[in-house]
Amino acid sequence: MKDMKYEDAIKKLTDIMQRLESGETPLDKTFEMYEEGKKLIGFCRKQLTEAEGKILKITKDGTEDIG
Amino acid sequence: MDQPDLFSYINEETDNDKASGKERILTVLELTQKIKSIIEPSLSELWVEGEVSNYKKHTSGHHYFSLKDDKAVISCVMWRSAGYRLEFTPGNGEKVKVYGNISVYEASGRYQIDVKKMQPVGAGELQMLFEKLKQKLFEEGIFDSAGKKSLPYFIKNVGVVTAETGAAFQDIRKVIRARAPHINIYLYNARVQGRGAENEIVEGIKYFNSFPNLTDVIIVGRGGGSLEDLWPFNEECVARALSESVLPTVSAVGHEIDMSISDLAADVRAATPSQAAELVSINSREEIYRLKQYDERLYNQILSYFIYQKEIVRGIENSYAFKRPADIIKNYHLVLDNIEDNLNYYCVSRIGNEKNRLDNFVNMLRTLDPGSVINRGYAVIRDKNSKRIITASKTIKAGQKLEVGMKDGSVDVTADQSTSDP
Repeated sequence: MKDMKYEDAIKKLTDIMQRLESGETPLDKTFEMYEEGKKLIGFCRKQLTEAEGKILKITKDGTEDIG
Repeated sequence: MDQPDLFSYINEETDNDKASGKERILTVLELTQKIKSIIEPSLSELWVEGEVSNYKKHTSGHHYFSLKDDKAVISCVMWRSAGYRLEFTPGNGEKVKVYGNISVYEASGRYQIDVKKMQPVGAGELQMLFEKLKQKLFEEGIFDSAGKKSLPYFIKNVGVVTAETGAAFQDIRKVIRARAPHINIYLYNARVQGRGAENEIVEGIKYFNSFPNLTDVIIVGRGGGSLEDLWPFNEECVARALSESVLPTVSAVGHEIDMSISDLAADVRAATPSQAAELVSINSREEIYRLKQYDERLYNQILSYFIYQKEIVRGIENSYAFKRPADIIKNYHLVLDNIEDNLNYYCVSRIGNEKNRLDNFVNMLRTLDPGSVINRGYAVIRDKNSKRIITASKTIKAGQKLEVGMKDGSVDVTADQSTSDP
């Protein structure tokens, strides 16, 4: 999940929910999907709140933090 | 009066100073007054042609603007007294001819044209250039919406090409910080006005494109300004760099009303730099709220799923098929009970019936009891020997010994003769 894109995670999450809501998933699959849904939510949350973004200036020698 | 010559004037001063043996030091005012006295009389009653920029009509009725060509700029003022005779409203970029005098203002150390008359001279040159380039690029398909990329929904890294010290960068930074603090902002510091600025902007766009994994989107822009200030964003090379960009681009030049070539060439046009910042940053607070909703929905789903499954199991338990064996047994019980009830009823009534029959017999017997007849005075006649009851007189023969039974006993008698069959 590390390399996953936020949009992909949201898309997957929506898909899981739709499938669960259709009520047609087998029992063991339902559990699996529920767990995956929880993981995806956690991942998205982390993406949104984790590391504070930086402000970097591009210079001839690379980049420098101008926070 | 002769027009004073600037250089002879200065030379005269120094000669005097030398003569007096000490340096003559001017105050700023004195110098300015001298400049004024030289310039104003020598530069009056002039016609000047140029492009209008920064045109502003003040509420006082005075008109302030600049006249410019591609190499120089001069400030102009048209006082209300002259301005009210103006037959057109000059627009920025418009080429005009003005008539007036140069006046020097001591307080600000500035000189300007005191405009008495103003006439339009066709469309402004910059405006014309703008239209020409717009037409050319339009025909080339640079502005085609089909080739435009949409912005990714979730953006983590934003490249910004603008001046580090400009208002635009401060606005972008502030908006992104407030909405989506997780976003990294990469600034490519480029001049955004003046000669050669367009090349720095192009370099910035190319820089980010040479590291396509560094940023998700590029914002190119600057804050508000005159048409000349915004001009680098109307340069062909900037338009081409934007249209060639592999990364999605957002153009944010000036204010809402300013439309630039780069606005048309970029994938997305933002009215202002702040709006550009909004476009590239999802509001993380709203997004977290959305995730919370998802979380609840997911939980409710799993919950209702189990409730539903339980219902199904209960339904099966209660189904006819499952309940049948029990029902059959119950039915047997019912049948048995019925039989038992019927049996009981039958037996009881049968006994009753038998009793009634017996009673009838008893009654019948009672009426047939000969004793009761004898009691009323009747007698029973039997043959003395055979003891058989004689019921007809003709069976009696004369001299036959008979026994007459009565209530309290019997007497023997002998028949004399028969009196029957007369």
